[in-house]
Amino acid sequence: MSSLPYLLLAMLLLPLLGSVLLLWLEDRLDEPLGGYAATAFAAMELGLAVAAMVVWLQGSGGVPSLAGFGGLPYVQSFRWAAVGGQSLDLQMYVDSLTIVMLAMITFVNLAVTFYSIAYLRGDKRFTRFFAYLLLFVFSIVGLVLSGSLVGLLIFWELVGLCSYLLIGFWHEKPAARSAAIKAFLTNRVGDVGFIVGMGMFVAYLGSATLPELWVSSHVEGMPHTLMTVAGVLVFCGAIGKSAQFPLQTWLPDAMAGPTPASAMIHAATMVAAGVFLLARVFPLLTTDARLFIAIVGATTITVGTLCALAQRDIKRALAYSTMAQLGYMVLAIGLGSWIGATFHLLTHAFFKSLLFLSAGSVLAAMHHESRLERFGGLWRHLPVTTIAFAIGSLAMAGAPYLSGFYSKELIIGHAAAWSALARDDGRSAVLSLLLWIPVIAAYLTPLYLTRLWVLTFFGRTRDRSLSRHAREAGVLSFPLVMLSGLAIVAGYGWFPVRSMVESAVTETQHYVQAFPQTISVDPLAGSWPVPQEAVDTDADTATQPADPLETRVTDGATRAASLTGWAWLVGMIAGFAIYARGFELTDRLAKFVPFHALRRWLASGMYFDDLYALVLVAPTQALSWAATAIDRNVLDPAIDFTARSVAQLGRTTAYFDQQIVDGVVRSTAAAAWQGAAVARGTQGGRVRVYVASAVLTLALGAAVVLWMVI
Amino acid sequence: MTLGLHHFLFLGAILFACGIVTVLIKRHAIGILMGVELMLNAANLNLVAFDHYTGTAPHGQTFALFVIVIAAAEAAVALAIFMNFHNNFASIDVDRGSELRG
Amino acid sequence: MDVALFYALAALVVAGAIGVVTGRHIVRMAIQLLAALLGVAGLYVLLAAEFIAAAQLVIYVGGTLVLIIFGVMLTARSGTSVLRPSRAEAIVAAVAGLALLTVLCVAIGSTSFPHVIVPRPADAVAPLGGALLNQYLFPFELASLLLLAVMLGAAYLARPLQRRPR
Repeated sequence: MSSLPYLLLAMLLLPLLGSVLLLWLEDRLDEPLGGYAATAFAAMELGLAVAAMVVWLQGSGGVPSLAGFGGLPYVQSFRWAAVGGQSLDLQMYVDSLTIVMLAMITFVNLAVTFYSIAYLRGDKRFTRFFAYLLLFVFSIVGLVLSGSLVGLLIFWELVGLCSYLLIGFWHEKPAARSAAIKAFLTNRVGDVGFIVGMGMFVAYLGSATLPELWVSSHVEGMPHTLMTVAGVLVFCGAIGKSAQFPLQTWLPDAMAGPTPASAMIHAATMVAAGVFLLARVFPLLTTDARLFIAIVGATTITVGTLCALAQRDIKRALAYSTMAQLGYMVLAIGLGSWIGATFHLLTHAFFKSLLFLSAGSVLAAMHHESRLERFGGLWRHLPVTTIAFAIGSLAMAGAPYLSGFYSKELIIGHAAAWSALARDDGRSAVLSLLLWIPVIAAYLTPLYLTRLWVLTFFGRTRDRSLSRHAREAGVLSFPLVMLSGLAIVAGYGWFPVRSMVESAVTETQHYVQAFPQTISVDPLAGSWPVPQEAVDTDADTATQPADPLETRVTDGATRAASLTGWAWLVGMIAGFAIYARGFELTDRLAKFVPFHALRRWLASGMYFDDLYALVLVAPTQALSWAATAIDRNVLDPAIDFTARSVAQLGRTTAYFDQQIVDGVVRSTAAAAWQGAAVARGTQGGRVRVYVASAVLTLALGAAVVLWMVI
Repeated sequence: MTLGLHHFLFLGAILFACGIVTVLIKRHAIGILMGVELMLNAANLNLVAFDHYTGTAPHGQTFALFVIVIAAAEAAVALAIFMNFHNNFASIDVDRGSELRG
Repeated sequence: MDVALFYALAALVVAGAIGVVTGRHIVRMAIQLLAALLGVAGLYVLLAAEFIAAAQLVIYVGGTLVLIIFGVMLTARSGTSVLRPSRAEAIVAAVAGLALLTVLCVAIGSTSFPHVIVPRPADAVAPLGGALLNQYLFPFELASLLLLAVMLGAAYLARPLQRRPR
């Protein structure tokens, strides 16, 4: 365990070093060399993550009082600033969630980095991409390691910066430039809430580090309303970062960046940072805050799933799909399923990045064409990609024995239990939507995924000229295989994902469970307090059925299985049925105006972009235009006038100086000259005049003396 | 009437005044020198007169002797200067020597 | 007797002085001055200052006056025009002289001088010589230095000008 901090510190600093090195030597590193260097860094990083996991797993040796797997979290903190009576500390907080997240991040990073060597071949800023990727890895590692909200915020913003750099990597494209700015600004809007909420927590609870916040939220406590508000505000940061409603508009446009970047940050890691934040502040969320979060999550699922059905661009479709899956995670947190949310986060990272890299493989083969109209029948040209995409789709759809199945079942089971509890409690029936929305989405998800797969790989080729030269790059296939493997096994009990997440709950209970009346990290707790976790149907885990509420939970899990167990197959069949002949069926339906209008509405992302442009962007632009007008027509002339007045004043002063002041001086000089001329007259140079004056003076003086004497 | 001091003093005053007027009125350099000699003689007369009519010590006479000596020296120097002046200006008119004017 | 002698000599002196004042020709003025100096020497005798009288005659008349006449000769130009002062200058001079004379006469007239008849000493020269070598030794020596300096200076000053070659 003593080597753990060094491993983690190395994990933090190594990508930073790599990024700086690549930026510094950018001009000297030729094309593949920069990529190989970055891959070496990524491999080292993964090695460090695996080593850290090994150390962690051995760490506590089963003793609950030591740091390590199943024991305690490992905490290292140091003071950053002290303001008044409160201090802002930076802290490294390591629990099993941290370790498993680091492993996921580094694994996906290695796949993406290796993939990018081939994908970005020929790009004139080849090495810089890898530098940005490594910088991103540094930022996300720092975020995951952070145990203090302040440190988390710092790395949060860094992650946003890297996202901006990577989305706008091809900055010759105006779409990329504006997408990068849009992403950054939308995140910023969420960050305002985050900072205010964080400030509220720090102000009331006196510390910025998570363990202390968790503890002090129940020792001193915070007024319920304020705590709810603070929690909702912190959630605003997650709304921005994880593309939840209403700040979801940036994610589809962010697809203007290179596909590996999309895979890394917009599928696996950055967008998951929002969910990670929620997982960390979970004990600070009141029941009302969590209800709000659940509602937002459900709304996002709706928007994402529906819009994904009508997208004509493969990457945009995947973006909306990511949005919907993040909605699942957020909903899970809102309903209290901490394990469900984090587990789904990890599995989603694997199959979503797999889907994105497969799409990238298609794009690379089709000269960066991404519209579905041009695809079709590519299974002949891109066999490995076809299979990889299929595996990813099945995993996401929840096909049994694939990773997505386990995580999705957990969430829906929890939602069913929660809904049942809500009904028992006599709450409004509308809240049952929080169950039905994810259930319906579970049917629609495989539908749109199958749509994508069928339209891309199956059937007739729609654009022969483009697909004739489509060839699969062997190098690109290798990461696909890596990720496919993980998309399959990540859900299994023996694979350390599920167990790590569950252990994280145990470790956090070291801080929180000391207050049994209050909220704990356990799922379902706090909404309507049930201190047990939901179990999945496959594992034979014995629960403690002492609590009558426990039966609700098990019932919920069974119900979930019955509701959505075959959703994947139903959706797949429907997708094949509708899209086997390409767009034929849908285009025929489009002759009906309502269907056509619906399709247009969904394809544009429910017109949110236009709404925001009208309501937010246009007034801001008008304000800016007005300010410019004022500046140009009022302020500038005023300044010009001032300048002219000053110049005129200068001229007047100069005149005064020259005429009057100089005149006085000159006349004084003239007077002196004339006086001198008069005085000069006495020095005529004639001796006799001198003598005469002397004699006269003498006579005068003597007369005066005589006068006085006599 | 006996010869009194005031007789000599009055004479000395007249002599002195004549000397002054000569200095003032003459343009010839040597004429001015003559005026100066007159003034010196007037002073000498006063000195000797006082010496005669006051005490036994010959202070006045000694002083007068020195005056004579110095007058002679001064006359020599003055003439030398006049000769120089004459060499430079080709004239003995003191009005010509007005170059030191302000 | 003395009084008559005094007036006679005084007349000679004043005549000579007036002659100097009003003279136009420089050589005539020199002769007038000679007369004045002679008269003053006689007055010295009257004042029992024989040595001074003798010194006057030897140094002043025999030396200085001759020197003056030599000077006149050396600085004479051919066709010397009579140098006359302007009328304004003459008036100013007369006024100045008269003013001074008036003041002096008033001063003399308003002072009462003690009338002391001092018996004539037998030897007038000895006390003079004694004073020169005792009390006035320093001025005596200084006078000799002065004469040396005067000789050198006069010799230098009166050097002939060297015409610069053109």
